Amino acid sequence: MPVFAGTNCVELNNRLNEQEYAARAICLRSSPRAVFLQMDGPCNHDCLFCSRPVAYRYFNLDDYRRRFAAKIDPIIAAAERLNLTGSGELLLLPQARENLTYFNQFVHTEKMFATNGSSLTPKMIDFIAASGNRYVIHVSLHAANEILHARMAGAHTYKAVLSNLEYVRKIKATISTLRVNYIFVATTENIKDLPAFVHFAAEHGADAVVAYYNYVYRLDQKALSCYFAQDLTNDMIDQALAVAKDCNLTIHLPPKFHQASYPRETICGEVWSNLMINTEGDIITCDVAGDSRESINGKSFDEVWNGEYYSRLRSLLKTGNHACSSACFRANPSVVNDFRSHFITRGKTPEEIAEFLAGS
Amino acid sequence: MKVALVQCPVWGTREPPLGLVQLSGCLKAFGIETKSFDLNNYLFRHRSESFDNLWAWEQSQFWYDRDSVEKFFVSVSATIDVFVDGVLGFSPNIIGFTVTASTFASSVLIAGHLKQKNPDCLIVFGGQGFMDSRAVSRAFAEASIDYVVPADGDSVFPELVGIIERKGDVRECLGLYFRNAGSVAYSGDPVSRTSLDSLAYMDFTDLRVQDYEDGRHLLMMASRGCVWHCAFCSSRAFGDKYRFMSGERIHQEIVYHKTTVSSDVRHIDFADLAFNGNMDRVRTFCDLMVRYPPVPQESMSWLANAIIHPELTLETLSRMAAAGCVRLIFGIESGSPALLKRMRKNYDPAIAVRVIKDARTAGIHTTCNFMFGFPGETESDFEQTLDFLRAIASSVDRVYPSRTYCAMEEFSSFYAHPEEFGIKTPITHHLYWESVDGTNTYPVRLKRCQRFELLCRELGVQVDSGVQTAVHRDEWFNLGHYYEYRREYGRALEYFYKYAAEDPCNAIVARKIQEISAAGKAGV
Repeated sequence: MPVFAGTNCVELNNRLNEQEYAARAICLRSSPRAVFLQMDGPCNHDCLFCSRPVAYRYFNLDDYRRRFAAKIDPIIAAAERLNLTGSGELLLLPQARENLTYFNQFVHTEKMFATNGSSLTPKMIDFIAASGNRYVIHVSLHAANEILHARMAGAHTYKAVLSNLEYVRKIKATISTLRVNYIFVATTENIKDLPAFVHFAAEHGADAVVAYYNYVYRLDQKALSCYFAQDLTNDMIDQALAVAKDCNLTIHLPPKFHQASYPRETICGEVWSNLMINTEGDIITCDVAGDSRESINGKSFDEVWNGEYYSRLRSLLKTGNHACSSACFRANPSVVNDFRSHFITRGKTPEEIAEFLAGS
Repeated sequence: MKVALVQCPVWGTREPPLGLVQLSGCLKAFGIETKSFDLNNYLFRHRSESFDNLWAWEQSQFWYDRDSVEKFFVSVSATIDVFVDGVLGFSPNIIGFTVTASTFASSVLIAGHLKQKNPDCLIVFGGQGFMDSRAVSRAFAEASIDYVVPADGDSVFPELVGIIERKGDVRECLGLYFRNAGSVAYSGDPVSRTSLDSLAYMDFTDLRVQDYEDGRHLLMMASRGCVWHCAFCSSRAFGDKYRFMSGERIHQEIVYHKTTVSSDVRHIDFADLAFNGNMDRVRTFCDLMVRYPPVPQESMSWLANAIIHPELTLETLSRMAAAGCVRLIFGIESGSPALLKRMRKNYDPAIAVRVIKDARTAGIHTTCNFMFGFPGETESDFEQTLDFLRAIASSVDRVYPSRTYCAMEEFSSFYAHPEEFGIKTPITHHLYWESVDGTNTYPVRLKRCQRFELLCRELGVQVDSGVQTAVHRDEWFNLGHYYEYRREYGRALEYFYKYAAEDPCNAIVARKIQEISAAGKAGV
């Protein structure tokens, strides 16, 4: 078992984890600094770029407690962040409040989740604020006007979202435990709106704008990729940066295309610092890295974290033998110019991958 | 694994069927690909003039008769074929039917069609009607039916689908009837939910609110069972315990639907038997509706069935009104304390008078339901009901005298123990039952209802017809059937002719007249 599991020694675990990453340790004594728990729920949007399958199982707290809590809860206790992620809206789950209440027991761990904002109602915000826990909420907006928002989201919720965000802003002014970032998934449909979006976020009191390129999950989404509008995308990123500077707003942007130089490739630290688990107990290392073959079912946490699968991944990354950096612009920004870094290969056959690459 | 859910007639057409939308939500929460199909609404929307009244609740007995339904389906076979092809076009592995007594015959026929066209599809019947093992036997007499789920389908059905998908042993699915070596076996009672808070939200993806008669309201059931155990009520089918959603959970689902289903939704009809069976949840719900309106600056109204409760004070009723409550429907049934006791209806008429008055002061409309001829009802008991009506006349907004007067509902206590209530056995008809001494008959009950209505008119109390046709027509329709049931064919014809004179297009009544006349029974 990791040395700080079950304790709230978040800082000590972080320090140890950083040291182990720096040393590229294969077997870790620290536990992951971030735990990603897939909390799939129903969704009231139908976003253009969505990866959601036709049917998926919603998160169920009773099921989690029965199957995974004994193994995962001690790890969450020592983690600096719990990322409640997944398909759909976790706030639309019937037991949304019970779910958050359960994870609020880990008071030292910051919670993060994404929402399209329509379910971030004043009642929910009051509840989150009253918990005293630190929360980072990512509001997936993608547009700063009603018509584009409806086009991106496949739903007419813009006014409801705005009304909710107005209340969020009011509450944020009274507490320090809540941060709200506005999310912009950049596609060919909305990239022209990025500078206006940054301005909008600043006006509405967002803490930051986080923009990233959409990943292509299905062939019909291919034309949405900014890879096919590179000059325009570069221009919009420049303008967005300028607006953010003017407004004194933090902004996170993806790398631009065809630059003379890019930051150096880094060894991805996610297999040292992150753990992502879905409702079936499958471990998902990363979307880009391909299909996961690890599961916590029938194993202890340590058998997973320091087991064959993670050890092999860490070894490959340490020796530079893992090909994932050639397809991930987060680790290697220069590969933004390769279309393979813009689509998800997980679950696809070589023939399907070839079809995705055709014409790129 | 794909699951199709089917609603057959006859069922309500004002809003998407509750059973389907609830079950669909629960299946989807388990990651099961599900699609809902409402044949009832499909046929209703495509009905011809000659079948205009077929969905009138007061004439629903048509749907209990398999031959009649079969003949009707033959007459609309092209429409049925389109529907069946639509279901099979989804390529379901399992097809679930939500079944009640009124939908049993049509469900069996449609299940047969589907199975004939795709023998690989598994057919599952479910619904409260299968709490009675006789209904289970009737279902398994049909070769097309593979499984029957009698209890809470929202938890049993997803589990069954999961077991079928992984080719497991269905005996592990508690709460299931299945075929076993030529007989029918039961897997054992499931553990039912004690709270409804974990229930998935209803799913309106396939059955859109705007495709129903009233496209601006939702039907929601926020509790099951009742805190009372009235002798005439069939709520036992929901289990003996009162199980409910918290006020928080109700509010949350309303907010959810307001943002996901349709922003046009302005009203909720609560289908609970007793919305205020737990007063704490009512107060919490109302506080949330006031503090966090589902959509700011927009009103959202609701109505509910309620029990007479001492905690329904003027203050509480005012909170309910502020939270959007526009109407409460009370099952008063009688003004006689002695008869109420016999009914096992646990309230004091004096408190009822106070609650109805306070509701009016708070700005909430009230509807009071009454029944006539409960076993043991004397003329004196009935006079006390009329006195009660006089006492509330200036406060009540509407009364609804039961158009079945006092129906013998399956699963009710007096249906199960007729001898305790002085009812002649065997009971061969749920409407036309008689007391052992012969003083309480269908026409006697009808007469009391007519006297009650007459007093309403004198007092200026609005009477809710509650019917989709006309009160007098339904009386003729039902008296026609009553005398046919008693083999007094001449009198039966008399009433059917009266009906036909006003509604000559009605194919059902025309057929009745033809059948009785052709058989030469009228002279008998």
